[in-house]
Amino acid sequence: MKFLSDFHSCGFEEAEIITFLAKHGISIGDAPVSPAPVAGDSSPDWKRIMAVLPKLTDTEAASAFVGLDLAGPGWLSDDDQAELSRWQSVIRRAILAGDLAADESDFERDGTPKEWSIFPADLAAWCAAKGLAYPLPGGVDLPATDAGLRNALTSCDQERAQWKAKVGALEATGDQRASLQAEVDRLRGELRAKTDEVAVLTRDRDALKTVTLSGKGRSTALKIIGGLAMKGYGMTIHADRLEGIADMVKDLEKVGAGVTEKTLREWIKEASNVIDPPKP
Amino acid sequence: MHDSPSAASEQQKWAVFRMNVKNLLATQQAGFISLHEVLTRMTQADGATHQEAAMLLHRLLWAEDESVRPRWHEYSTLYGKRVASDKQGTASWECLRQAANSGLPAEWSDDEIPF
Repeated sequence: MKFLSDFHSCGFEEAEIITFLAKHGISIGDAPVSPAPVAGDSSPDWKRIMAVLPKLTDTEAASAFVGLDLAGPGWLSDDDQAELSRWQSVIRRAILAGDLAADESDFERDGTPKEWSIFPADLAAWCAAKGLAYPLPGGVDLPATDAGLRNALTSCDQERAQWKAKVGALEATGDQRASLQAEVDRLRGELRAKTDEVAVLTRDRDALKTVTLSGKGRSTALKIIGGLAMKGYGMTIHADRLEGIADMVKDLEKVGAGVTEKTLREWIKEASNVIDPPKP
Repeated sequence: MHDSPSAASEQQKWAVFRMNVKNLLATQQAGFISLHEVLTRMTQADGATHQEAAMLLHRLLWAEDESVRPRWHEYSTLYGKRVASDKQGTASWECLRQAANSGLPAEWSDDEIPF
């Protein structure tokens, strides 16, 4: 049993039922006047509003095909949702296939396009190519002659060529970047190797520093060398000219402790600084 | 005592807001026509009864292909105008069938029993 209030809460879209009944010869009034009515156009208000948008998202375009006002109150039924999803899929695949020109207007986190924006003229051209009725009322001028279509096609081709060139430039930039990155990596490796080499050399230098005679040890060694030269070889180490140094060089060579005469001379001269000259 | 400029601006803002509320509510209801109103207008067209109007409307809707048939809508205080859910659509058909079988319910039939 239905009450009177039920008859007030259920009903129709006014324009739809008036048009429907008028089709069967029953007039119950005029369809509501929209803000910008187009003669002979029975499109709902939301489509007329959508028709003046400079660009449509893929979802809006799908809703136009399905005839769903997405901004309207209430939730979509499962059937409406399914139909909307079906058209969204058709439009996105057309975009990905290059049949329908569109720009990505939003992206997922992984960079894949989340939303596309479409010029009404491109949508109309696609509809014309697929034999579909353009889903929005008026407003889009399509070329009406073969010449016009050829011009439009040429324009599209030029635009596509420009985009292809842009893609090529971006890819080239990408390659250059990859090449520079490789060079940076190579230089980093080289720098790392050189740093290691410096570390090794520093360690060797420090090691050499520790084995170099210095301080009291060096003084003692000089005293031994100088003493042996004086007593063993009868050298006058304080004299300007060292006599008998050649014999000492030969003897050192014989016992496997060969040094050059120059080195020995320098050490003996240095020894003369730490050994006092014999008193006359 | 006069309001400060900021207070006046605040009042103006609320006035605009109230106006928007009314406009938005009107927009949400715009375009909805109840089944009662449809049947009443049909009777006004040629003097038929509500029951006759309901019979004809039912036959016309039922004969029409579902894809082009006007969709049932519902209007409520809380949710405004929206396309009827499957359940609500079924309820709307029941309303139309009831009207076709026995006419519209009486005014006093709603919610309470008259004493």
